Amino acid sequence: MYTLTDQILRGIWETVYMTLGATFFGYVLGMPLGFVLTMCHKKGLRPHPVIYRIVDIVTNIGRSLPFVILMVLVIPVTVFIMGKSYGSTAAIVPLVLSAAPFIARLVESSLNEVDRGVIEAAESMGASLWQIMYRVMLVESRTSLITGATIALSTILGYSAMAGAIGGGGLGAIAIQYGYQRYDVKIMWICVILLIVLVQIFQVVGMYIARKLDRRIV
Amino acid sequence: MTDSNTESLISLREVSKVFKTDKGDVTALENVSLDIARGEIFGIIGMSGAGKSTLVRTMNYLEVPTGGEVKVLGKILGSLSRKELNDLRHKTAMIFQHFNLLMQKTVIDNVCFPLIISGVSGSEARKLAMELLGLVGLADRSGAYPAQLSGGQKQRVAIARALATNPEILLCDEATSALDPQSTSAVLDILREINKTMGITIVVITHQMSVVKEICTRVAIMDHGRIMETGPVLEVFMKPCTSVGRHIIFDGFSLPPLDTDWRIRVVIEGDRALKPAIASLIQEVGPVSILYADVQNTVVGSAGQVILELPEDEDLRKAVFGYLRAQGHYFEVKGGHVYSD
Ligand SMILES: Nc1ncnc2c1ncn2[C@@H]1O[C@H](COP(=O)(O)OP(=O)(O)OP(=O)(O)O)[C@@H](O)[C@H]1O
Ligand SMILES: [Mg+2]
Repeated sequence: MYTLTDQILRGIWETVYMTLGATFFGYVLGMPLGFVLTMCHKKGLRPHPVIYRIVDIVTNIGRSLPFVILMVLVIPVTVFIMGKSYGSTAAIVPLVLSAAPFIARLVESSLNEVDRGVIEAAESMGASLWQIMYRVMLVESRTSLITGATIALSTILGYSAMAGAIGGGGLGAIAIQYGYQRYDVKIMWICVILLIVLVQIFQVVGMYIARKLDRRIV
Repeated sequence: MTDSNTESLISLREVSKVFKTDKGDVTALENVSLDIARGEIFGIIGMSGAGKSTLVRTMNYLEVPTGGEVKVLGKILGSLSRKELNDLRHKTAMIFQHFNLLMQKTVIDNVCFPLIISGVSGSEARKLAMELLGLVGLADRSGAYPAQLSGGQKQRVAIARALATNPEILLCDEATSALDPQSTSAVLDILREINKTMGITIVVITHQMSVVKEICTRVAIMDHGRIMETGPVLEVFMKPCTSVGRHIIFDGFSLPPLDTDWRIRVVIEGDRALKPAIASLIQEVGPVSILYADVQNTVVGSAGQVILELPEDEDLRKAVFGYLRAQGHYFEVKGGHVYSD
């Protein structure tokens, strides 16, 4: 058998693994959606009411579904992609699906902060849409995007603890196993404190990077 | 419109722009026709909301007109594909009131930007960018970020950036409006210089008369989306022929208003002719008092103007008018009535 320390160390690893994995794939999915929302908005560079509306509705539905329910709903999808419905890797699927719409909104609001004048200047120089997205919007909004990513990480970490409840592993699973099923409140508290510490680490590191990369501060 | 030595680089025909807003339609441009020739520094002046920015933005299709035709460097902008328009835009640079530099990029990377997007290699772009920064006097700040520069320096970076793709046209929308007088004249010096040495045609949008006076060869006065008058700077400044033009010029030079029948404004061509002309008027006709006098020096020549207060004497007034007409001087009285030959 594993010792308790082994279990907790493993729990930390699983939590970090699920969180980073889901955040990464959440961005792979959410980032393009965020760009679509910004570009197709009626004040965007390629206004397109229909596309905007569709993505808008999909992300809103995604965001309003409670995570525990979504997790159960998408079990067939999880099984289809991962071949099984339990374990940390499998938990990444519902985590990504619930994080992507939320990330799309974060990205949208970061991109919308980019000074319209700078985009216009790039247009006046003959930059293509891709060049504006890649070389102007992404660069100018990076501070805000990184700040957003730290928010996304913390939120997804919270979700990952819930994923633990249905076999996703991680600190959440340990907390529930000991605290809820065995009434060992001490272990539960240790897990809670570890979760808080992880959130803090993500926050501090994220904010530090964001500030370091911001050239608007003299 | 085009002949052998005045090739029209920018030509607008009946250009209109109507903005559809929640509160209804806003007509920003109404049937504007305009020709700007190669090598000109063309000024567009008008009150806030006159449509100046909208007009200049149609010249690179940042603003797509709702009517009419825009022809730039021989191409009808409305007929170009996106790719062709982007290619053309390498030749029509623009600078802005608020500089619009990339805040997260260094000065040199900002200048490299238009080169990189048009496919120039990184090392070549940096070499060119350094030359341009030298031209605007900022070679030593190449590694700084825009946030570390003054407004005047930022605008000089923006000019270097605009010149990077070797444009034929430079559009300036209120490029000096956010700058103090020293930075303004530094920027205007650079504009004059690049017009002269590189032959770049410049369009200057401003509400500052002094800017037009210092660099423009021709000027258009805009009001309510229309061009009210257009002509050589000295001509329009000294002899505005619409009430809007008169208003803008009188305000711009802080001239005392012609609000009584006894006040007249006399224009005397040439920069040294003003004093002798008024002296001989007083000698030949009689006592008049001088309320205001100045000499306007523009890049296309100088002229003097004087606002006279006549004694309230009908005979003397007739004599003054007769004398001025005999001398061939242009003058105007209350209500904008003009005497000239
Ligand atoms: N995107 C827009 N949507 C709606 N109305 C607009 C838009 N842009 C300009 N307008 C309107 O068009 C008119 C002309 O605006 P424009 O910005 O061209 O004036 P301007 O002469 O440049 O003024 P300023 O000196 O204040 O810059 C104004 O009434 C303005 O409110
Ligand atoms: Mg304007």
